[in-house]
Amino acid sequence: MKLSGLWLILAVLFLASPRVHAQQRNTVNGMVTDSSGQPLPGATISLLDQQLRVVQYVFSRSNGYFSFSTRITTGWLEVSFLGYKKHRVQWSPTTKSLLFRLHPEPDLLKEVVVKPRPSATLQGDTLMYLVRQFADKEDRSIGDVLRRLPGMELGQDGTIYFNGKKIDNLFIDGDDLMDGRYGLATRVIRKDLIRRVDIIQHHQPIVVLKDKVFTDKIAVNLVLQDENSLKLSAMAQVGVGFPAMAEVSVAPILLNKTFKSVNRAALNNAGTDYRNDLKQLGNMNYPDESNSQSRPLDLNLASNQPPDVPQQYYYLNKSALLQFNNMIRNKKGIQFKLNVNGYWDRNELDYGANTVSYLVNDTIRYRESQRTIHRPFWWNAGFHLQSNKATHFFNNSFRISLQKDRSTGQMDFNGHRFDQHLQQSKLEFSNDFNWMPAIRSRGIAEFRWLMGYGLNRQDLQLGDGYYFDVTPQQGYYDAVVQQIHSPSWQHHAYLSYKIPAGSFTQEYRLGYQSLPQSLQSRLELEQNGEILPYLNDPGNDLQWRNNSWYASAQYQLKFQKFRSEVRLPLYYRQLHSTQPDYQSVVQKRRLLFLPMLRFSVHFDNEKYLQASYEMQNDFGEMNQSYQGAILLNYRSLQSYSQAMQQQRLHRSSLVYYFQKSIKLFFSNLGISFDHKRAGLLLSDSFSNNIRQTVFLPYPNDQVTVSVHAGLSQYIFPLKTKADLKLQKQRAFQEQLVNGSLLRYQFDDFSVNTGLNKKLGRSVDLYHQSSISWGRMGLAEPEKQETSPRTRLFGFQQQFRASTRFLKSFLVEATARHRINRFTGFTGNGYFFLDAAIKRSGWIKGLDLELNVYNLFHERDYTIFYQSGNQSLTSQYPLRGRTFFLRLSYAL
Amino acid sequence: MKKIFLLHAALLFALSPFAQVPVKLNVVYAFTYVRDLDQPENPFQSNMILSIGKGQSRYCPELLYNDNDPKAIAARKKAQEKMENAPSGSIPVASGGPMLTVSKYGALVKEEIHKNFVTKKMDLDARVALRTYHVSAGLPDIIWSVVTDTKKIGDYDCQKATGEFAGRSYEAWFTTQIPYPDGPWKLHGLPGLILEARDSRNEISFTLKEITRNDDADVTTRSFLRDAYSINTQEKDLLKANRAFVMDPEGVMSAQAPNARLMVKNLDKPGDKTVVKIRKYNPMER
Repeated sequence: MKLSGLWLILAVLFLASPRVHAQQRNTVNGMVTDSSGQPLPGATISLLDQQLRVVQYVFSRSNGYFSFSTRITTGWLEVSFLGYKKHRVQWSPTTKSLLFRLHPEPDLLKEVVVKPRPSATLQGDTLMYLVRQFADKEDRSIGDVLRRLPGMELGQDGTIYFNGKKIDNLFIDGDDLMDGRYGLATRVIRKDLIRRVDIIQHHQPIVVLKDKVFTDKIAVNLVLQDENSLKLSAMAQVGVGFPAMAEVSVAPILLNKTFKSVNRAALNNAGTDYRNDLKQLGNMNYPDESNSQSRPLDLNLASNQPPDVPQQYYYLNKSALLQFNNMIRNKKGIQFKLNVNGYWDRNELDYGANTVSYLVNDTIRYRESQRTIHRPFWWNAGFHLQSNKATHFFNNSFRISLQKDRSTGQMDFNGHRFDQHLQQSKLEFSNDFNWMPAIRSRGIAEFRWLMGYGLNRQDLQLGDGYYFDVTPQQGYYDAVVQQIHSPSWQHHAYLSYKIPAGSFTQEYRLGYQSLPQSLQSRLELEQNGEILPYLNDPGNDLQWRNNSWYASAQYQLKFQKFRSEVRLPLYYRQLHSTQPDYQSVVQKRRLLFLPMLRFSVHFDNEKYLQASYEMQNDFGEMNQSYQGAILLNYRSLQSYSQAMQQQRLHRSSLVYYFQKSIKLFFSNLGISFDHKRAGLLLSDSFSNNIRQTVFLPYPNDQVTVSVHAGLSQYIFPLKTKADLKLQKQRAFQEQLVNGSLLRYQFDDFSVNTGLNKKLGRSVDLYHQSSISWGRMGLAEPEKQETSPRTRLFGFQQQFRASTRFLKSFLVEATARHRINRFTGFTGNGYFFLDAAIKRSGWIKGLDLELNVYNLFHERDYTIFYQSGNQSLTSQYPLRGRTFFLRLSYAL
Repeated sequence: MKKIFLLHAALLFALSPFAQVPVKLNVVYAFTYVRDLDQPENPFQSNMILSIGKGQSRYCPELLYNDNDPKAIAARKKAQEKMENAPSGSIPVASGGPMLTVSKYGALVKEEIHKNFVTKKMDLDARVALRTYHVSAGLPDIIWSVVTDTKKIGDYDCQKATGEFAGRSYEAWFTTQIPYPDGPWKLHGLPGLILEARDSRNEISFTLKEITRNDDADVTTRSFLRDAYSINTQEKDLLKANRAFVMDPEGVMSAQAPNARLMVKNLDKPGDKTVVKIRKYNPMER
C-alpha cells in the first residue's frame, strides 16, 4: 500500500496544481497522509472563513485523495482527523502545496476533557451513582468520592449518612467484608476499583427474606469495576515530618467475586489515630433484643476529652496497626471470612482544666492540670461462616477481643500533686449462630443462639500527695487503690417462624435470655506499708442474674402506600441479686410489655413519611446497682442506694424524607420526643476536692424534644453541592445537688452548612460551617441568682481551596476558623491554616505531597464544655507548625 | 479440521468491516422522541451513548451499555453454554417465561447502530421482543448545508448545519474541536462531531450530556447484541417489526413465544405489570 517516495512526489506535483475551470470557481485537489506517508481516508478537509467558521468541507477518500471546487478566495484550509494534529494553512486560489501530512497527536484527546453532567439513576429502591461522573482527579480513595455524592455525608470518624440517616452497613460487591468496620475500606480502596456506588433503601441483606420481610435500613454497596479481577492493588505510603515524625503504611487489596481482601499494616508518630479505622460503624446484625448490653464500668484518670481540632495538631503518639479482612466464597456459595485487627499505641496528652459546679448556695471550682500517657493495646478477631441463599440463611460468627490500657498521669489538682496509674483489661468472646431455612409451606424458620463472655478488670492507683477527701478518712496516704473485677456471661437463644404472605408478614418468636454477671470491687488506702480498708462500706461483691423468657409477635403490613410494623414482645423477667455484705438479697419477677410501632407512608419512590414509637422498660443494670462506693476517678466517688430500679423510656419520632434524584435534591424534616422515667435520681454532694454521687431510689423524669431538618442539592449551573442542616433541641433533667432537688433545662440550636464548588476545570472550593447556640440552667427562674443560666456560642468554619496547575500539581489550603463564647469567660477565637502541595503522576501511580499543618503556629487551645450543673474549661498545648512530606504509591 | 475452521472464522472476523476497534470517546446524549402522537406531552426519554473509535462508532441506549458490564457478560455466557448443552429443540426461556422489559414510556427496543466511515457501511442491530435482527446497509447520505450561526455547548464552539434525513429536516450543531464526522443516531457527515440535533417538528431531539474519554484498550466498539442467532433482514422490515412491537408489545412477544407465560419487568416501577401501548405511532423515519 505504501507509495514510493517518487510516486508520491509525482502524484502531488500533478494533483496540486489548481486548475481553473470557470472564471471564479477553483477546483482543488489534494491528498492527506499520515506522517509515514500512508494515505488517510476519512480525514476532514474544511474551508474556513476569516472567522474560522466552516464554509465548505469534504472528506478524503479511501486512497487519501480529495477534491472540491469553490468560489471562496480568502480564508483558511484546515485538515483534521481524530488522533492527529490539525493542519491549517492560509487559503488562496493560488495555494500550491496541497499535500497534507498529519502527525499523530496521542494526547489530542487531552482537549476532550471529561464533561460529565453528574446524575444519579433511580431504579426501584436503589439509587446509583457512577463513580467516574463524580470523582475528581485528585481523589484517590473511594471515600474521597463518597464525600462528593449529593445526599451523602461522611462523619469525622468515617460513618456514612445518607439524607441524614446513618447507613446500616457498607457492602463491597454485596458482601460485608469488613464486618461493619468499613472506615478502612473507604480510606484504602482506590476509586478506580469501583464502578458504581449504589444506595439501597429498604435493604434486606438476607436473601431468604428478600421481598418478604421489609426493612427500613439503608445500605451502600460498592459495585466493582471488574468483578473477575485477579489484580492485586495496593496503596503504600511513606512519610517523614518535621519535627521528628514518620509514617509508613501499606494496604494490599484484592477484590473479585470469589475472593475479597482488604489488609493494612501501618505505623506512625505523626498524629494519626488508627482507632477510627477500628470503629464499628456498621451493624453487626445482632437481634434487636440482645443489644441491650450493659454499659461498661470504667475507671479513668479524669483526663479530659481530646480537643476538637485536627488530630495532627495535638496527638502525640506512637501507633501501629495491623488489619486483615479476608473473605472467600467457594463454589457452593459458602462464604468464609476472617477479620483480625491489632492496634498498639502510646500517646501523651497534656491539659489544664477548670471545672465549675454551680450549687444552690455555692459555687465550687476544681483546678487541675495533668500530663497523661496512655498505652492502649487492642486485638480482636472474628471468624465468620455464611451461606446466604434463596433456600436458607446460615451464619456463624465467632469473635474474640482483648483490650488493654496502661495509663499514667501526673496530676496537679487544687494544688495537690500526685501520680496516678490505671490498668484496664477487657477480654470478650462471643459466638453467634443463626440458621434460617425457608420451609416449603412458605414459612421461614429461624434458630438463633448467641453466647458471650466478658471479663473486665481495672485497677486505679492514686499515689502519694493525693488528698482523700471523704469522711472519716480524710487525709494523705501513700496510695489509694481502687480495684474492679467483673466477669459476665450472656446467653440468648430464640426460635422464630415468619409467615410472609404478600403484603402481610407475621413473625412469632420464643426466646430465652440470661445475663449472669458479678462485680467485685475494693477501695483501699495504703499507709506506711499497711493496707487500710475504706470504712464507709465494705466494697462490692455483687452477684447478679437477669433471666427472661419472652414471646413476641411481630407484624408487617404493606398496603398500597402504607407500610407498618408492630412488635409486641412480652417478657417474663426474673432478677436475682445478692450482696452478702449488705445482707441484701433481691429477687424480682415481672411481666414486661415492650411494644414497638413503626409506620410509614410512601407517597412514591422518592417521598415518604415515617413515624415510630418504642417503649423500653428495664430493671436497670448491674452497673447501676452496686451499693459499695467506687472511686471512678480521683474526684468522683459513685454508688447506688438500692438495686433494681425500674426505668421506662418512651421514644417517638416522625420524619419526612423527600428526594428528587434526577435533580440531585435530597431533604428530610423530623421531630423526635424522648421521655425517660427513671427510678434513680442522681444526687451529687460536692466538697472542695471530691464529688460524691449516689443514685437514690426516687422517680424522676428526663424529657428531650428535638427538631431537625436537612437539605442537600447539587446546583447544576454552578456545579456546586450545597448542604444545610438545622437542629433544635430542648431537654429537661432532674438532679439532687447537695440536698436540693433541681430541674435543669438545656437548649441547643445548631446550623450546619456545606458547599462544594468547582470553578472551571481546576479549582475546587469547599466551605463548611457550623454555628451552635446553647443555653443551660435551672428551669425555675427564681433560683437563678446563685446558679446562673449559662450561654454558649460556638461558630466554626472551614474553608478549603485547591487548584491544579501544570497538569500534575495540586495546591491546597485549608483554613479553620472558630469562635467560642461562654458566659463568665472571655471568648476566644482561633484561626488555623494548613497548606499542601501535591504532585501526582510523576511516575504512574506515584503521588508526592508536602503538608504544612498549623501554619500560624498556634500553641494553645482552649475550649468550653458544659454538662449538668457543671461547666468545664480546658486548655491544651498544641504541636505548633509541622511539616510533613508523604509519598504514596498506588499499584 | 476444527483448527482450520477456527482459523478461517477468526480471519473472517478480523477482515469483516465490523471488526471492533478501541473506543476513544464516549458521548452521552439525552434523547427525547415523541413516539406516541397521542401523548406529545410524555415523550420517550433515554440516554444514548455514542462510542467513537478509529473510523468506527457504536450508538446504543445507556441501559444496553450498562448491561454489558462483565457481570452481565458472564451471565450471558453461562446461559449460552446452557443453551448449547441443552437437548435440541428446547427453547431457552428464563424461569417463569420470557421477559418483557418496559418503562413508563412503553416497550423498550434495544437498538445499536454501527457506522463505519472507511467502508461507508452501517449496521443495525435490534432486539425486538425475543428476536435479534441484523441489517447491513450503506451509510445514508445526508446533504448538509453549513450556516454561519455559532454557539457554545459545554466548552465546545459549535456551528450550525441543516439537513434532510428520512423525511424530517434536522438542525444540527457540530464542533470542529472533535474532528469526527459522527453524531447521534444515524446522523453523521459533518466536519465535526454533532453535539446537538433536533428536527423541525420538535419531535426528536438529541442534546449532549457528557463526553468522556476512554483509555482502556479493552473497551471496544464491539456489538452488544449481535450473535450467532441474529436474523438478517432488511431495514424496512426492521422498522415494521419495531412499529408492531411498540404498538402491541405483549402481542408481538406472544407471537414469538406462543404457549409461554409472559413476565413483565418495569424499570421505572418494579412490580407494575401494566404495559403502555403506543396508540398513534410516530416513526422517526417517515
